[in-house]
Amino acid sequence: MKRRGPLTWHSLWSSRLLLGTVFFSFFIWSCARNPAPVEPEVPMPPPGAEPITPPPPSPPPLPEEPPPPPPPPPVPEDEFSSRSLEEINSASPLEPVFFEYDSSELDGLARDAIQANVDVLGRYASWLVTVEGHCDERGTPEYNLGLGERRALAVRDHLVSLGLANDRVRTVSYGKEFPFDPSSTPEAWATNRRAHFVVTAR
Amino acid sequence: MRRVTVSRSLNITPALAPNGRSLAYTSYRSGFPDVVISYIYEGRMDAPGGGTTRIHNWLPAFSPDGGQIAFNSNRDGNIELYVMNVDGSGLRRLTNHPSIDTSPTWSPLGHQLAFTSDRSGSPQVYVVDVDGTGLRRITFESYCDRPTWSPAPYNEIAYASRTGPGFDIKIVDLATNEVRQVTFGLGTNESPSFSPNGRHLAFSSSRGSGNKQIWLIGRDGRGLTRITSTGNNEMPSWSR
Repeated sequence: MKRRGPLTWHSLWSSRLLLGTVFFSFFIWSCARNPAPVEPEVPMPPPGAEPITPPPPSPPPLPEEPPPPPPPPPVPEDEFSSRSLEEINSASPLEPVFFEYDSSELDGLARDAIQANVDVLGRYASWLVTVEGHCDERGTPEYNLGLGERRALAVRDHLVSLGLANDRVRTVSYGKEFPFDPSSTPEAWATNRRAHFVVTAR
Repeated sequence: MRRVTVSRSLNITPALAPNGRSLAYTSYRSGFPDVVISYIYEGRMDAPGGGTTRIHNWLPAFSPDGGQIAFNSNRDGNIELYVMNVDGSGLRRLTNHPSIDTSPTWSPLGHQLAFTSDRSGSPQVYVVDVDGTGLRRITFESYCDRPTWSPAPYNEIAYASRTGPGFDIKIVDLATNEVRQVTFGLGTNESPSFSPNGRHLAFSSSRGSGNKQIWLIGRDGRGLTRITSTGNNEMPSWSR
């Protein structure tokens, strides 16, 4: 690219003088073509019409009100309203119920978990749930189908005894077919001896 | 080997009909366990137990003549054994106890059934007449399940018995109550099923790789043979 030479003081002054002359000529020409605007005539009101009165003066401004409080955080009832069943179940809003080995007895922790789930299901009255009965790997596959069924039925019966409508809960036993933790450790066995809640309709 | 079930749900506890032309099993295709009979050569299926979201049926066992099925159901609010004709008619309850009564198997002539119950506090094998009378306990061990009744001339019941962390296969002679063990502590050995001539047992075992495979063993504990080798395979059943 060609580089321009530096501007001299003389050439700069000549340019400004020429520009000023052009603007001044344009201003004189514009004034000659556009005379000062004339205020239009106001038509007279017809006889009998209300006279036009000037609007009352606006009231003095009120003292500035404090800004409205911020909207409250979403209430729990709305927490899952826009979520899919898959998203609801991923969030695990219902607590699992755990069991001792070869047992379907509900201990204190199990009853607390069921009560908490009844509270949640009370807030989401349209939800239907399935209680899955699961077992650890130590029993036989055949007996565990019955044990898982008995666990699921025990949880369902307690849910209903706490006021949940019978037609909102279904049961299914998977025995030891779908362990949550496939390890062969006491911790895994304890994890797998459970009644697992699945929301099936919302 | 060929696949019989095609649904994407769980299908377990197969029981071949004595004539080998149909297969009963527990299917979860409707979201709950139900007994389904697949008529293999006719291309049709039936669910004679009338399962619903409330009524669950599982673990079918064909009678020796193939006309009836013993199975588990929760239809009375507890886990009991029932018997029905293969078309679903003639339903009757065989057990009535708050315990888990499960794993039915028929005697060779169809007059009795053996099953598992935890009514004593742990799973044990019992025998009952087909009319629900004459109940008697057969095993007295820590945990026994999945009895299978041998055909004549042997008057024996084989079952899985807990012998440590896992199970082994044992056989009880019903005439003498003598018990003998045929597998010994390699992996876990479960779900025995007597062959039609009573000389062999098929069972699942996790010995070796840890995966469950189907094995055969003689009723005398000899002739151990592996049948399957791929994936996990369990709950074998023989046709007659």
